[in-house]
Amino acid sequence: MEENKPNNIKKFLNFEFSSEEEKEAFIESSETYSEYKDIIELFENVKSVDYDKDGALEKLDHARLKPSVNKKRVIPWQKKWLPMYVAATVVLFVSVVLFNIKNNLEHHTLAGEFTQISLPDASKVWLNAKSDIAYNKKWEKSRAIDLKGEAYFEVAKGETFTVKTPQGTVTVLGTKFNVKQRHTSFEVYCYEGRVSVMYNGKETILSANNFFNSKALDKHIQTTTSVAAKPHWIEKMSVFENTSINDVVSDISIQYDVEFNMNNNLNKDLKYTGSYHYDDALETVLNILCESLDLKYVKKGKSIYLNKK
Amino acid sequence: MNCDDYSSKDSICEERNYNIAFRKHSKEVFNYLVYHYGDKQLAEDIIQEAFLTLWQNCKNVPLKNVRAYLYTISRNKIIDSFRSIGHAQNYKKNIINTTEKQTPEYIFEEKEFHQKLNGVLDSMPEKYRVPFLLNRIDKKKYKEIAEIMDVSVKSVEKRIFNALEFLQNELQINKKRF
Repeated sequence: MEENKPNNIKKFLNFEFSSEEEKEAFIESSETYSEYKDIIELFENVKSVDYDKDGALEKLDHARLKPSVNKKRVIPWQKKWLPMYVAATVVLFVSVVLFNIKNNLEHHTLAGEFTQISLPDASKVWLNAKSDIAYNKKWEKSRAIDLKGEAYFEVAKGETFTVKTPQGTVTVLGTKFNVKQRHTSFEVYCYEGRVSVMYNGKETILSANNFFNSKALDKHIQTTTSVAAKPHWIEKMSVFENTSINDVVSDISIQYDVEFNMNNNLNKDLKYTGSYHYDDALETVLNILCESLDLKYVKKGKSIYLNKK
Repeated sequence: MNCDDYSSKDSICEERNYNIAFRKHSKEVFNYLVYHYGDKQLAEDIIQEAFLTLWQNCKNVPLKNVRAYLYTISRNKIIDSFRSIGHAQNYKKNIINTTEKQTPEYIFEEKEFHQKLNGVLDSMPEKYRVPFLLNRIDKKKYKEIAEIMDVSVKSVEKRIFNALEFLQNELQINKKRF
């Protein structure tokens, strides 16, 4: 009897009882039924939303009969021109490909790599690890660079010089500045002259020693007290001043091509002050970091697990 | 009564048969869509699309398959819309009416209770909700629901029972709270 309970209610729900008497008997006796009685009875009085069949049919006829008239006229015309469309598309595609091959120069660096490029007008670009740039061969016509990652620019005087990143655009006339775009963060540091930063449709002007940070909530512009003439990474160094642990490890991961996994119990607000040289061994860097923050690390292949001591 | 039956030799491309099919099946498929989406407007749109598709393909759909064809298109549309927007269920549009003659003995005011019930149905997983409502409101048997939803009879049976349990728990909690 116990075993039959759920089966009987399933039978009931499937309208399987052959007679009213059988159904009544079930309703009287079943414990399972009495358990769900309220709900089952409730739904006997429930119906779906109203549906206006005639209105729907009218609308349908409207939609059904109208376009069929139009289509008859349209289709032959499309068919007639179809080969032309195809030809035009192919030409367009080929020319886009050729244009890209002929006119774009690209450079990119892997994790831990670093390179310097001279542009046709004697502007100089230093490219940090894991970064890409591309620019038009006909440089003098448009001084524009597409950047993903981090680069430092020393721009020769002349027409405007534009750096486009997925996050924002930087425009200058002639100056020294650093652009850092990683994932969603976007930072611009101006070392000399003035630069204009377009971010989220808003323009911000930076003068020397000003610093633009997309992550800073209230005010994007910050002034630094350090009087570095160039970013540290040009000297193959990373310097952190009260930097959040997340930014520190993402910097290390770019230089050493490793991945960090932070334990959830770690305080995300942890700040670190220190520096490391890119020629240092990874172990040395991690030891110093962990020693000063009271952490420990475990290295497994390319993954590094950070945990409390 | 006779005019409700298709003229057997003709296809669904016949204007008359097409209209009969609409009168026969549209409400039923509409309900199925409403249980899925919890949105009357969306359900109406998809019904229209489904019947338009049927019209365009009328030569390939034998009369006896019309109903299954409509369900298949509706099912595909549901999958499509999941793909495109990962859509948010919205039962707040008062999908369920209780008939006036009998007020359920719950403590809620009619309207308040309505919202409660719709809210609970909203939070119920779709795979329980749809077969449950097809069974309880449209009085469909497991076998028919299984065909509509393209799943096995056994799982329809399980899902409906799970829906019962789910409602029981949820409404019990609500009851206590008031």
